[in-house]
Amino acid sequence: MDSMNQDGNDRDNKIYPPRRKADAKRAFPRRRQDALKWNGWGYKDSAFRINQNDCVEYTGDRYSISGYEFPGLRKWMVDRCGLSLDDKTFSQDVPKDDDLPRIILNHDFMDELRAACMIFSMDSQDRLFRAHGHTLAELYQLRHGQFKRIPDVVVWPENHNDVEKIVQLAAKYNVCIIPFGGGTTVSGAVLCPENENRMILSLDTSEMDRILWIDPENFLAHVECGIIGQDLERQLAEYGFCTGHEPDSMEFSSLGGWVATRSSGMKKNKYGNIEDMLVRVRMVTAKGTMEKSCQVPRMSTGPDIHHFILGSEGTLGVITEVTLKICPLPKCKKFGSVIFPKFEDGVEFLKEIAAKRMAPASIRLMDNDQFQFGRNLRPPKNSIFATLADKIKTLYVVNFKGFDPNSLCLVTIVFEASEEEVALQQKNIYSIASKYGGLNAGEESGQAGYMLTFSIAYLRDIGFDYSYIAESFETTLPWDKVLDACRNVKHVLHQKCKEYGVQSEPFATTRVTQVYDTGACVYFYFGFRSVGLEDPVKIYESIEHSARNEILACGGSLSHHHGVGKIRKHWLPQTVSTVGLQAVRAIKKELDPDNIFGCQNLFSKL
Amino acid sequence: METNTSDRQVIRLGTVPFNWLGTKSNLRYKYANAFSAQDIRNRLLSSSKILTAMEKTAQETGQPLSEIRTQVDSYISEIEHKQGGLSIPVMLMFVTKILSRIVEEISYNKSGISELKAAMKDSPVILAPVHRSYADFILVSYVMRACGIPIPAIVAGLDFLRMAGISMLLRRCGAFFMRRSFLKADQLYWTVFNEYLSIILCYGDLPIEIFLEGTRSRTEKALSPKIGLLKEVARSFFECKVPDVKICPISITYERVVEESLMIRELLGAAKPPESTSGLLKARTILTENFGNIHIHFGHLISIRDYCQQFDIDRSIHALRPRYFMSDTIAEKQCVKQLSYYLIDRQREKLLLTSPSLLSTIILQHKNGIQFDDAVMEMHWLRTEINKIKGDSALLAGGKDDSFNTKRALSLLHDVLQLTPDGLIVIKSHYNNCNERLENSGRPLLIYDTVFAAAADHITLARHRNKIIHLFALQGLLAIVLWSESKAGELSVNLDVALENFRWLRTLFNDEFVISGDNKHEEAFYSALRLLQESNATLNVSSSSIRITPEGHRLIEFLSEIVRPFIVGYWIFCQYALTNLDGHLEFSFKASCQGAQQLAIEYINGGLFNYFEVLSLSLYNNAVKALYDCGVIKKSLRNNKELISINKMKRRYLVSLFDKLAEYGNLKLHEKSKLSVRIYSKY
Repeated sequence: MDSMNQDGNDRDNKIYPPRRKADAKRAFPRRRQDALKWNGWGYKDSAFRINQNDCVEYTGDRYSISGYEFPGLRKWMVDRCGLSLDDKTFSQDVPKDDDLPRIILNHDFMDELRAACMIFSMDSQDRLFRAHGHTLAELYQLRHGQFKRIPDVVVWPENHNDVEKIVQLAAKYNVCIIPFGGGTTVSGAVLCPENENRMILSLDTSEMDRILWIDPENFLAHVECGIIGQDLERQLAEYGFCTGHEPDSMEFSSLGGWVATRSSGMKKNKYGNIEDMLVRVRMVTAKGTMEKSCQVPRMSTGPDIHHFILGSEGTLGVITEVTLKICPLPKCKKFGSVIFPKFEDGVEFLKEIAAKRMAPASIRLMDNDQFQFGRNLRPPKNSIFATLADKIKTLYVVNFKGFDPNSLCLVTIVFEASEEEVALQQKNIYSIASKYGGLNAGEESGQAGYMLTFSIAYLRDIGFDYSYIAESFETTLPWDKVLDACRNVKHVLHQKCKEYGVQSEPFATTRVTQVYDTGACVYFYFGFRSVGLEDPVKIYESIEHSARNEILACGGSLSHHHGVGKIRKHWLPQTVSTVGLQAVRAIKKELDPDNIFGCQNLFSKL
Repeated sequence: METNTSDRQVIRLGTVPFNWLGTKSNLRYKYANAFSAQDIRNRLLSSSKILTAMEKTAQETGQPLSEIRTQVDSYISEIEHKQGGLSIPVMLMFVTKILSRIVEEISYNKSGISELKAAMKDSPVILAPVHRSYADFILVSYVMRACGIPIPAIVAGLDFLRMAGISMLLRRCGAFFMRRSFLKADQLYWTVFNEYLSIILCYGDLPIEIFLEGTRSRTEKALSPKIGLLKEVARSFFECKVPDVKICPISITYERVVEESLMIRELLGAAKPPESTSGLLKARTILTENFGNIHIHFGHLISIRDYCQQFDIDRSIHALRPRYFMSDTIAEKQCVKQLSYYLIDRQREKLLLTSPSLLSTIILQHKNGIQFDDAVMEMHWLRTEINKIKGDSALLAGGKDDSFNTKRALSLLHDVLQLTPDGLIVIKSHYNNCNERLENSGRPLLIYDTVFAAAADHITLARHRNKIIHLFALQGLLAIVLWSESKAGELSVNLDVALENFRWLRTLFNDEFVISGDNKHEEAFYSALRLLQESNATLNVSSSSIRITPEGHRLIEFLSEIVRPFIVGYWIFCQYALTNLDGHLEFSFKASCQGAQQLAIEYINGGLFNYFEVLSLSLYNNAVKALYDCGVIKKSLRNNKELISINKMKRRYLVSLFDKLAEYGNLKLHEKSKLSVRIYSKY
């Protein structure tokens, strides 16, 4: 806030920003396929590939690791993941217009839409881009298959009123609406149901990306739903604020999507999850706009309507505007890391940190495989001294401290607070760590750990190129079941791979990625070589199905933040009880009797 | 056939494999992290289950927590194994030295060992051998060591602790000890024991060996499984503490068991000699005996995870309660029960035939002797019949030459059988009783002596026969129903009548023959019927009735005769109960069994039947249990002693059982069977 007062002159236009300037920097243009990959993750110019030196490199210049080679990575992928460089497979080319499903046209609707001067497109590439999210199955489909159903028209409303108008028209002419934000979903949520015979409208929110106002006095920002995570944080930072919401997808995912899926950010210990920072929300339903009359921290007014907007996954309406809690930018931001001899020690350590409520902004525990993965993702040191220091460190840890390099695990930490606060946190954390045999492993290892989580989706694409399929899935567990679930799920993954005749040892690794008082969020990465398998996606899905069953048996949740979408619908009745699900269906029936929001997430057609 | 020569590996006894003194095997569960006795103790003392139980005990008894902690400490000391050091090599060397003198050959199947090795890293392993002899666990450990697999931790009965010196040696070899009492007062003990088992299973680095039958079977039949340990093992899986547990059923076939004579004494009622060091030393005379061959078969591993699929088990409910809050669901209980029977079946399935067991089966049906050549033909017939049931009649230390097999059986059974100069195979005691009285006994010969002597011989033969009785039990029960209801094959039997009679008979004899853990009578009936039909079309089955064909008489008679001694035994107990446990009369469990035995002697002397094996107390033990299970007999406590008597509400049912058993045991027509004999027990 200090920064605000210092900069008093600009105050007015900054607090009440005008319509987005024409030259304002955006994460990507309206024609997303110009900047983003049509069949993979992220920017076109950024990708892992194996160069002529037979070494993995990362192209482009957007990230700190861009332009570097990773000498150990190829060997690690071959040795540990069972990837083979002989298995090169190419993606098909961008499908031609004729190869895509025919448009189902609702003429009356289109006439009115045109009359209302909405921006829309029926271009095949625009439609294809909005036909999918980023699950393994969807990407495989893009690379090697064909979608049976894709949106028939893409519409870009520019504000809340536009959305109201579109929804009214759709209701009038019985058109199906699927809201589309960043398109980073990993639950199949934006897939068009194959049994949907009406015209499908993809409601792209990306033109609604303005911060409408900032209220430093109450720490609030009122933002349109289509804003992309990185744009939101960059623009807020200009005013000295942040939301602190950082899901791994934040470069590409949108605010509306976060709300609709009950998203969670890596720094939730300091800033909270999306439900903690959401103060007010406007959602356009087929029956009108649903919203609260005040923006207050808490209210006792019966069941909270926000709670069924959060996680509604596009089944009830379109989220258009969100009032978020904002925080002043932290003065000090530091990485840190601790190594532990064994995963169990790491879990005990996290448990104590959580119990003492001492968790810094982010604290994560990687198992040995993921630790090794992260190590191989570091660019080579350019100074001899740095390499030498590294070697000495390794020698010390392995030989003098008795750490087994094949069982040690890494805790990575992000500190965000004032200088003194960070110093205090560091002191506390490292002293508790030593109680469990942990050793401070430095800032750089911590940073590398976080680098892995954002680059993992890029890495998956290079896997695809070599017939290696991989995916991640997550859950929440009570503390006493964390180890059980990690162990048992890995067992199931290995066992199922054997059963399905997967040719080399699969890669299955886990991470405790969030801590709570009563439990933790656990993340699994799982991949295997798909050579020789008739239908690798089907096999993958069946294996993940078994793994999810095991997670549930261990007392885990169906999802911590990915959501249910279409791929986890199967378990929803047992998760929330049939009666619970009936109640949710009843809300749907009331708000959307004609199933205008017909994405069929959470449950199938009424 | 799995037991072909290429899979069979003979152990060369007396030689010391060079890896004996080697380092610990690295074949262990990959998530193991409690390696020493101290690790395990630490885990136990911080276990929430034990801490909660301690607090509960403190509240109930008012003892201070420190005292209870000391108590728990001493429980742990009583239970724990301390495997390590030189004890194992020394023990194995000593034991194999003995074995090499009294046993011809020990072998095992290589494929089983490799399957075991392949599975050991992925999940904890339970070894579940049959229990016929103390040699069981020694042999298993011996083979494991010879194959480079870690020697298991072994559940042992607490009675071993009385053997000074031996108990420490056993602990060092990996034995851990379990009490046999299941009193409510010992709840804290059982919490500690179960948690100990669970911890060495989930976090320990050794396989664990448990005996499902709980104790050595004295009769060579399987005993009905005790599910306590298995339940604890399965619970570890249900509570997700392990990704899976693999169970290896182990079938050990002995041609003769070392403890044979002791067990027969026990069955006849001479008290079980307590396991004392001196008792073991006295057994030295066995060193001059030949006990033939031994084969150890390591069966296919059974994954608890896979086995549970057929039950409606939802493991997630355990996550809704704290760890210490134990409860088993009905589905889980049912699953464990059926698993235990399933394991017993897998054990029995892979037992090899032995020539003594075949010959004994034949001799027991020709009590007055059989010509050697006829015996050879009978052997062949029996092997063919078994082949039809099992599809695999591998004979331990024998082959296709039944003359050779018969001779081998005769030599191993030389204590009991004798080949007379005119080529007749006879039971020694019969033969001697007829020809010469026992001469060198100082006291006047009591009638009991001759009866007991004959009974000892019969029980020896019966024990050998019992090794294969599970192959015939189900069909035997059906056969006896058909045979009796058809008046020895004269009439056809109504299908419903057959099913109804089969149903109660199977229920009554379920534990005796360890048939199954479920109540699917109809299924069992039809599978028994199918087995009978497959054996040479002995039956004509129409939609409503069954008729025994003339060609079927031999098999049906043979099968009936296998089961009949048991029918007679149970009939005797019903008789005993009706006359001695009725009205205000009640006796202890033990006295009742002995009373029934007395009654049996009376009947044998009266010439009612000549099944000397019904002197075996195990029959009456089982009969009491079976009658208790169907509510005919009730238990009551008097002065802290458990007494049994007839449940008056069910007296009529008992009478009908009595009549029906008499009919099936061919006793009904005899005048004497109607005598009501009262035995005044001297106990």
